[in-house]
Amino acid sequence: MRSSRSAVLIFLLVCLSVVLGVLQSNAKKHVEGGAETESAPNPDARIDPVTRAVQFVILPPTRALNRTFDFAGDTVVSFLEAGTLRRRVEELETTLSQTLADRRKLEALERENWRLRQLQEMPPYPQYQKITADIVALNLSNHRITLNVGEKQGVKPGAPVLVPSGLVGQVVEVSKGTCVANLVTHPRFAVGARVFRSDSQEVGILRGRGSDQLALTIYREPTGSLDPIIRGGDEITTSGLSILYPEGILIGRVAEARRNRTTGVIEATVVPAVNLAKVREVVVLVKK
Amino acid sequence: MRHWLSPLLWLILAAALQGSLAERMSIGWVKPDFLLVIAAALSMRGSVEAAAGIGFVAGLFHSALWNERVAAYTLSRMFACVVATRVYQATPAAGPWAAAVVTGAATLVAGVLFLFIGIPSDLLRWLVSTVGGILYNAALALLVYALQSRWSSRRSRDRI
Repeated sequence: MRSSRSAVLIFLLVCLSVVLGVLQSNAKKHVEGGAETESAPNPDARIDPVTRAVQFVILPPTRALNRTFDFAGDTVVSFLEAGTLRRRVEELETTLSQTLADRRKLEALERENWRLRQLQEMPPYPQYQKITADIVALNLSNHRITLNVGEKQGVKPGAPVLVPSGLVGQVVEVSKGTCVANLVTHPRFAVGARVFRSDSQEVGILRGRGSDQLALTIYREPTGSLDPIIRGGDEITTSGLSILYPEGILIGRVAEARRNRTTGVIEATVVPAVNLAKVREVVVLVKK
Repeated sequence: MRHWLSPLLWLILAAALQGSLAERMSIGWVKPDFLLVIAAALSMRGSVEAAAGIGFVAGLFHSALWNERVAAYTLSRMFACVVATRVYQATPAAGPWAAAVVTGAATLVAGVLFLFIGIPSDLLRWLVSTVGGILYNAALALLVYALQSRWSSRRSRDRI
């Protein structure tokens, strides 16, 4: 009795299997243009209702377990590779600091390159040879600078020192490999200067004052208006009436001018064109 | 109701393991069949009707995972579970090795039936996966048997 019941059950289940098989293959045959179903592992197949119902039950725990095993696998791998990762991080940190140092060096070189280009692009002075030099010591309180060029490079006392924006000073002491120059602000600095204006061109002597301003003295008859000769904002350049300085090097701009009533001499205050505190490289002009 | 709910839950767990862990645990072409191992373990001590039912549901779950060959899976698993019951009843002594032999036999039956009903595309692959599967599933059956024994001893202790 029991075995016949088993046989009937098995027969029914076999029939059910066949029916399910037919249902599944029919569903797959009815795929139209690759219709997709979200829950199907095979997205190209249409899923029969029975399989869909079974998937509804078994796929959520499958996905949850999948995520759990992924997480566990990742955790184990991370744990196993922790030492390697730490070493790698240390290596990368070293590389990064090296790269940053290299980058800073590169930026400094780029800036230096730019400044040197500026020096090279200065106007030509046919009678002079341009010698590029670095400032190796800057003493603003004494208004002096030391350059890394000297006798070896042909530098002589009296040679003008300049940058593209204007005159910096004059070489006063020379040794084999270095030289010292007085800045334009030095109290002993003096140069022949010209008011660079088409309707003036007055010539005078410009001296350092030991401060951040310069003094220009123009000797003229003690009469007449000041305005045609000099006024605030006028550019002052080298006069060219000298064997040391070529003509036309910008020195500064006039801040104010006045006439001495007793002597008639015109005295002007001039602000240097060059920001002397920021100069790094200069050009020394040496007579050929 | 409870007497079929528990096997159903175990089969759902086995299906989830099959879908998530089987590929990770595969060795070449050989993959563990959690559904068959659990189904065989659940069928061993039960009746033929229960084994047929458990095997049918296991096959249904297995085919639903990949939406393929539902008839081949349900029939092969159903008869494999029936064979598992018969073989277990024929073994002289119950124990982990008996469970391993029963699961191996069930895997063989399922594999052979699947060969004729499901018709695998690559015969060599089928042969390797079936022979490897017998060993793999038998090894898993030892583990399942140990867990099952512990579980049932704890339950009987709780009842006392």
